[in-house]
Amino acid sequence: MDRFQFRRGDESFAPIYRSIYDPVKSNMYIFISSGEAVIIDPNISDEAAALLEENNVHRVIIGLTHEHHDHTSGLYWYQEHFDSTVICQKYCAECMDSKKYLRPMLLKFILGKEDKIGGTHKLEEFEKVFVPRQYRADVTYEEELFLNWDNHKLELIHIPGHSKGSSLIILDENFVFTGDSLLKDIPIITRFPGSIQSDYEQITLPILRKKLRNNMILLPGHGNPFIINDIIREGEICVNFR
Amino acid sequence: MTNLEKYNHVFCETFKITEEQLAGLKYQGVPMWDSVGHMTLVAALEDAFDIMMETDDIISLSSYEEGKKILTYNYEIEY
Repeated sequence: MDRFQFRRGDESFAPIYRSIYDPVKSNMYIFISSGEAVIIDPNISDEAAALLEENNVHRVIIGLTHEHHDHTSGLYWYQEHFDSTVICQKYCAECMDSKKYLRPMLLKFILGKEDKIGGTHKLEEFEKVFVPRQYRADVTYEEELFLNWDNHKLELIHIPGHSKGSSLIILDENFVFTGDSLLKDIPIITRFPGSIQSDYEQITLPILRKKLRNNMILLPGHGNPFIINDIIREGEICVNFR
Repeated sequence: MTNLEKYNHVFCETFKITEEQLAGLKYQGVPMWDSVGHMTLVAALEDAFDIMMETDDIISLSSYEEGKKILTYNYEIEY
């Protein structure tokens, strides 16, 4: 588990923790305050469990950047062990509540192909631990949702393109959880079922231009945190598609 | 539309190719048939034929011809 301690000048923020989901290296983030935690894109992690126990966390708000399985794999575990509230965009919720959601196709395909090439048994290992579930979100929104939580502010904004139910999640106007909709040096995938590149260009990019400021820390679904200046080229947010 | 026409249409639409490119087409044989394109292909085949493919079949679907066989033997799609 990584512990990020961000500072701006003399100002020091509470730490944000990251746990990486091994099969496809996707990020879960945890932010703790007064015995409660915000968890973004949950995966199961012994270290995360220990961290939450050490901090006497009894209640968690779970935000989902989108519906893909590598960003929701641990959702049931947190629901079972904590007083939880799951918040996501309406389409994300609909997808997770469908029968098709019981099949993490892409994860299995990637691991199966890796096994064929490398003679490994990653798919078998994955199938031992992955728990297929359908989920019901507790709170959904169409375009955006603002929440006040223990002197913190959460803002969730629908940003379609990578998936139909993708969201940008902003904590305290400082930290931006981008999911797979804005990554550093990694193209945005807009060819999945449910992906629409024109939605990204016409809806999401204007939102990113409006919402993201120079002093914000961007915490992506894969890879390390960065700042918006890292991906500005000739005055514009530089996004490539795959 | 016959099942063969449906099958071909799914491949052509998913990978933005022509019917002339279908024979002998293999996974990663065209730029759009990568891991992402594969998921789109599977979803489109499932929609077109109203089936749900098993994981083993999804992984084994490694060529245009292999896909036909899988659909025939495991999902009773006749051409």
